[in-house]
Amino acid sequence: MASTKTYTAIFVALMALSTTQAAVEWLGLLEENYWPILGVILVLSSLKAMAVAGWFMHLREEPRSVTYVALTGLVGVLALTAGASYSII
Amino acid sequence: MSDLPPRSSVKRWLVTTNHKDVGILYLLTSVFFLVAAGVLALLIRIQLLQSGGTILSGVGYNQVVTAHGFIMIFWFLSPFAFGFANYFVPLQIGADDLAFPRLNAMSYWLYLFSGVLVLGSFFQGATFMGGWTAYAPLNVPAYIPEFGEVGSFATIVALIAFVGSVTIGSVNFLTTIYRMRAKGLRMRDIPLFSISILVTVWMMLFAFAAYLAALIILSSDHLLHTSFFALETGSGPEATDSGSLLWTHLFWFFGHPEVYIVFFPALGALAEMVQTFAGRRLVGRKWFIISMALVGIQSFIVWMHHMFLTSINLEIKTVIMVTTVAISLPFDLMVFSLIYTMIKGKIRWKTPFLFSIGSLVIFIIGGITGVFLGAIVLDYSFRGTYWVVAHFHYVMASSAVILIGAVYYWYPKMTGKMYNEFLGKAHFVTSFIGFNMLYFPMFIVWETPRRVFHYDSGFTPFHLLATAGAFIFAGSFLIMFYNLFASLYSDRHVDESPWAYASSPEWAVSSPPPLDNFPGKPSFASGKLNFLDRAGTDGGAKSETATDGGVATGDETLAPPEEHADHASWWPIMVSSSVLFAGLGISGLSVSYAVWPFALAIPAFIGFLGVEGARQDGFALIHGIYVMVAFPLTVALLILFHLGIGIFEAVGNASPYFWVGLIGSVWGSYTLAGFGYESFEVPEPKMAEQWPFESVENTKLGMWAFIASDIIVFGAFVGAYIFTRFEYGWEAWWHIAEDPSAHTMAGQALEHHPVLPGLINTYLLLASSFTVVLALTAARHKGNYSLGPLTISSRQATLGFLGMTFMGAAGFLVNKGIEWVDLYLHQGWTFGVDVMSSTFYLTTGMHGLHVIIGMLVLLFLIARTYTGAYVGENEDAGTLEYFGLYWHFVDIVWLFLFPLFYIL
Amino acid sequence: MVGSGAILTSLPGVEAVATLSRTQVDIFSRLFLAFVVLGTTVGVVVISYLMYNAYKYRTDAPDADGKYDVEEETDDDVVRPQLGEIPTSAKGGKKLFLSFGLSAVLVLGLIIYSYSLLLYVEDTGDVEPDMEVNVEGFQFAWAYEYDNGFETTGELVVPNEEVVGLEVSSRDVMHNFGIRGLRAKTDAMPGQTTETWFQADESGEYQAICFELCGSGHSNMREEVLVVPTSVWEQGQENYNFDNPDEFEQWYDQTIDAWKNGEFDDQLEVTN
Repeated sequence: MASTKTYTAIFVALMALSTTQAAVEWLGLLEENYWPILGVILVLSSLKAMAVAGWFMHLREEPRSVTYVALTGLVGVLALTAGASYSII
Repeated sequence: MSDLPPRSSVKRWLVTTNHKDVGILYLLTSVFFLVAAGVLALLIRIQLLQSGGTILSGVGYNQVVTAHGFIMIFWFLSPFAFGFANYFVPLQIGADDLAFPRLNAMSYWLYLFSGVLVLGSFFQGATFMGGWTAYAPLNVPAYIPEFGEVGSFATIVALIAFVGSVTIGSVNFLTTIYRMRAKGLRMRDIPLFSISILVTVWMMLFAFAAYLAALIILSSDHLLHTSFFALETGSGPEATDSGSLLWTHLFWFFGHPEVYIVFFPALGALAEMVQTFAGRRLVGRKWFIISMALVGIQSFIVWMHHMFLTSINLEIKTVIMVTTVAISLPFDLMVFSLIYTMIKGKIRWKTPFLFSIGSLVIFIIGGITGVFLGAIVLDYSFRGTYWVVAHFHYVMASSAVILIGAVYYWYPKMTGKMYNEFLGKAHFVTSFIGFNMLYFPMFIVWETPRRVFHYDSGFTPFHLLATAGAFIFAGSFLIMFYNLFASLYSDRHVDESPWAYASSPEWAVSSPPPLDNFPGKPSFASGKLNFLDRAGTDGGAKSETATDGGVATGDETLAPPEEHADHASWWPIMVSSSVLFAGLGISGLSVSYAVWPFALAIPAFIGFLGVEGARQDGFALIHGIYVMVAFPLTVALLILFHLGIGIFEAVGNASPYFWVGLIGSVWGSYTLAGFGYESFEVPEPKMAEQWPFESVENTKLGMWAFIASDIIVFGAFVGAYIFTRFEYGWEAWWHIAEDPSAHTMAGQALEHHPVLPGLINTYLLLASSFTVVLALTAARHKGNYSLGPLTISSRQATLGFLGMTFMGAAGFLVNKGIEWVDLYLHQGWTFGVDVMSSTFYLTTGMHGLHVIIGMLVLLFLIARTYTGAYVGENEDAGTLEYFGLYWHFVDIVWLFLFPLFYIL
Repeated sequence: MVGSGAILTSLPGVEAVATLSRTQVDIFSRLFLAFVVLGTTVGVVVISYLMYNAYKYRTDAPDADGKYDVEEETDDDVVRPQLGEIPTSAKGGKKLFLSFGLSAVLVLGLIIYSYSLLLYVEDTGDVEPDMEVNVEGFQFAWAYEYDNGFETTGELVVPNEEVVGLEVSSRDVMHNFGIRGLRAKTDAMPGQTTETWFQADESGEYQAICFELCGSGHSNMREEVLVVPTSVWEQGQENYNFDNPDEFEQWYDQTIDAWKNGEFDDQLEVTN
C-alpha cells in the first residue's frame, strides 16, 4: 500500500494524460499526422494502464509472478490480434 | 453451512462441496453424456450405411453431427478428465480440498445444467445445426431455418454457461495447485497427472475466454441483431466481408488449444499408469514436463493451420506451418519417453496397462496422420474429408481410451473394491477391435466429404465396416458398466494400494480416502511423504478465510481443520439452477423483450441483499434502505417497460420464454445474494509449499487468474474490432457510419460521434478507481480520522469512499445512457445498422455490463461494511482489495476503449 | 477412377512421374506417396518396438495375498518407484534425445520438401493460367463466370491439358469448393476471394463438391465438371468465337447436350 499522497499524484497524472489524448483530437493533430499520433495516443493509454496496475492494483508490491499471470493473458490477446490482422494485410 | 449428510443420502450429493464427491458427480454425469453423444454417433453410422442416407433428413443429420461433436468434446471428454482431476489433484499434491470448494460445486452444477440446456435444445424445434465449428455466417438467424432459431440459440447459451463452469474450475485448480501443495513438494515434484491438469487449466483459462468472446459476439447477433456476421438489408440477409474470417480466427484461437485441453489430462494419466505398471520411473521426466509446457504455449500460435484454405496470406501460412511442425516434436519426445520407460520394467498386463498401450498405438497412428495434415499441400486436399475425421478421432478418442484405462486404474481407490480383471480385459479387447474397425476404414475412404451422407458407392463396404465397428465399440462399454457396477458389491476389498510400484500420494491413504483425505498433515519436507500431527502443525497460526462472509475465527484453529472447514452448501446448485432457467428463457426472447427480465432482476437483487443481509448479519438501517429502494426502482422499471412495450400487452402476449427468463433471473438475484452472505469457512493453507505465490492469498491469486482470463475476453472483443476495421480499411472506417448509401435500413447516416462523452466517462471511471483505493486505505487505517472538529471513524470513511465509487459508476452509466439514446434513437445508429455500430455497442456494452456487475457487488460490500465486516482490528479488508482489483481492471479496459472507439 | 478405393487412385501414375508434369494431382500424389511410405515405416517401427518392449519385460508373478498385483522384488539394479517418493527421472535420457533428434530431422525434412511444393502450388507466377473462371458458391450449388463473361449455374466445362485458374467466393454462407480427382480445393467465403488452379491430365467427368457444412442441402451439394478432350475444345474454338459470351453459350449448350446424349462416352478417359 502506497501513501494517500502517492495515490493522489497518480490520479492527477491519469486525469491529465486523458485530457491530453482528447486534446490531440480537438486540436486536429490526428488528422494531420494520423499514424504517429495514433502511436502517441496508444502509448499514453498504455502508460495510464501501467500506472493503474502498478499502484492502484499494487502490482509493484506483489511478487513478480502475479504480474506474469496478467501479462500472459495480455500476450495471448496480442498474439490473436496481431496474427489475425496480419493474416489479411 | 451445515454438516455433510452421509453418502447414502440424496441430499449429500446436492449440497456437497467436497472435491471427491464432486469428482464422482463429474464422472457419472460425463458418462451419461458419453452415452448420449454415443447414441448420436450410432445414428450417424446408421445414416451412413448407404450413400444418400437411411433414417435422417439433411437438417436432421446436420443436427446429429453437430450435437455429437459438442457433447463429446465439451460435455464428455473434458468433464470426464476433470472428474479425475477433482478427485485426485488434491490427493496428489497433499491438499485437504480445492481452494474454493463452493465454487467447485458451482462449476459442477453449471456444467450439469448447461448440459441439460443443450439436450433440451433438441426439443425447442431443433438444436444447433452448423457443426461444432459453427462457422459464420451459417451460425446466425439469417441463415438458420426458422424452426431451429430458438434451439440454436439455446445451444449457444448452453455453451456460454459451460464456459462459465470451465473458467471457475480453471481458477480453482490454478489456485489450488500453486498454493496448497504439501510442504517440500516443489512444482516440478507434483505427480504427472496433476502437472498435466495444471497445464490444461492454464490453457483452459485463456482458450475458453476467447471462445466466450466469440460466443458473446454470436449471441449478440442472435439476440440484439447486431451484424458482426450478417447484415439484414432490404433485399434479405447479406454476409459481412469480415464475419466469416473473424469467426474462424476467434474459434480456432480457442479450438486448437482445446485439442490439447482434452488430451493432456489423459496424457498425464497415461504417464502415471505406464510408470506404475512398468514398475519404472519415467525416463526423462523433466523433459516430459517441459514438453507439455511447451505444447501448452505453442498451442496458441498454431490456430491458422485450420484455415490454410481461407484467404489468409502466404506469409502467415508459412509462419503457422513452422509453428505447427514444431508443436509435433514435443509429442515425439513424450511418446519415446513412455516407450523407454518400459525397458527393464516389470510390466504387468493388467487392464489399465492394456488400455495404456492400446491408446499409445492409437495415438501414434493419430499423430503420424496428423503430420500429413501439417504439410500444407496435402492439407489442401484433406480439408473437409474423412482424413481429418479419422485423424482427430484417433487423437481425441485415444484420450478417451486412456481415461477409460484410468477408470480401471483408480476404481479401487475410489470405491475400495477391485474390478473384475477378466471382464476388464474383455472390455479392452472388444473396444480396441471396435475402435480400429470404426476409424481405420475412414483413412482408406478418406475422400468421403465430411458431414455428408452422399458418397461414392464404391466406398460403401468400408462405411459398412465402420458402422459394424461402431456397434462393437459401443457394445464394449456395456461390459464396463456391468463390471464396475457388479464389482461395487463384490468382496474384493483393497487396502491403500492394489498396485505395486504406485508412487503418488493418493495410494498412501485408505480406499476410499477419508473425508479430509489424510491421516495427518502431509509433508514431503523429509524427502518423502509423511503425515504430521495436525493439531501441532496448525497451532497458533491465525485463521484466514478464503471466502468473504463471516468473521474469521481466532482461537479455534488449534482444532484440526476438518472441524471448522465447511463442507455443505445449497447455494451452488441453486445459483446454477437459475442459470438454467435464465438461459432457457433467453433462448426464446425476442429483441424487444431481451433486456427486461434482467433489468427487472436488478431491483430484486437489491431487495434480496437487504433481506438476506438482515437475516445473516442482523437487521441494520442499510438493509431497510435496500428493501425500501427496491420497490420504487421496480416501479420505475415497470413504467419504462410500459412505455417500451406496454405492460398489458406484455402480460397477454409475452412468450413463455419471457416468464421463464424472468423467474430465472429473479431466482438468480436471490441465490446470488444468499451465496454472497453465506458464511463458509475454508482456512487458508498453512505450512504449504506455495512457490511462486507465497505472499499472495488464495482469493487474490484466484482474482488475478480470473482477471487474466477477462483480459482475453476483452482483448478478443478489441481484437475482433481491430481485425474488422483492418478488413474494411483502417482509415476508411468512419465512412461506414457516415455514408448514407450504406444505410439502407436506417435511412440516415451518423452525423456526429463526439469525443466528449468518452472523455467524461474516462474522468468518472478514473475517479471511481481512485476512491476505491482510498476506501481500502481507510479500511486499513488504524483509529479515527480527525478533520478539525470532525472525527470520522475508519469505517465511516470506508463507507464514504465506497459510496463515492458507486456514484462515480452511476454517473458513468447515466452519461453512457445519454450518449446511447442520442446515437441509437436520435441518429438512428442502431445495433445492427452496420458492422461498425455492432463493434461499438457490443464492446462498450460489455464494458458497461462489467460496470453494472461491479456496482451490484459494491452494494453488497457497502452493506457488509456497514454491519461490521472488513474494517477493524482482526480484519485486513482483503475482500475490498479483491473487489478493487476487479474495478481497476474494468477501468484499465476503458482506458483502451476510449481512444479506440472515440478518438482514433 | 472414383469408387475403386481411394488409396489406389491417389497413388501416382507412373507416366505422370516420367513426364515430370506438375499438375496439382501429380504434386499431391507424389507427396502423399512419400508420406504414406515414411509414415507407415515409422509407425510400424515405433509400434513394433513398443510392443516388443512391453512383451519382453512382462512379469507374471501371481497375486500375493491381499494384493491384486505382484509384490515388489529387489533383485536387480533398477531403482523402482516407491510409494510417497519425490519423483525423479529414470536413466535413459540420452537415448530419448537421440530418438527425438531423429524424429525431428525426419519431420523437418518432410516439411521442407512439402514447403517447396507449396511454393510452387501457390506461386501463380510459375503457373500461367490459360483461362480464368470465377466461382461463386450459394446454397446449394455453384455459379461460374468465365473470363469471356459467360455465366452458368450448371456444369463447369473446361478443356483438358490447360491450366484453369479459379477465383472463388460465396454469395451467402461459407462453402468449400473442391474438385475431387483434380485436387483443386479452396474455401468459398462471403466477402473474400480465394484462388486456386488445376490442370486436368485426363478428360472426363469430375465432381465439384462442397467440403464445408453449409446448411440443409450440404450433403448433396455437388455438380458435374466436364473436362472435354482438347480436340473438342479446339474444334469449338474454330466454329465459335469463344471471346463472345453468346457464341460460347451456344457451344456450351451444344456440348452439354452432346455429353448428356452419350456422344462423348468413348472419348472421355474418366467417367463416373
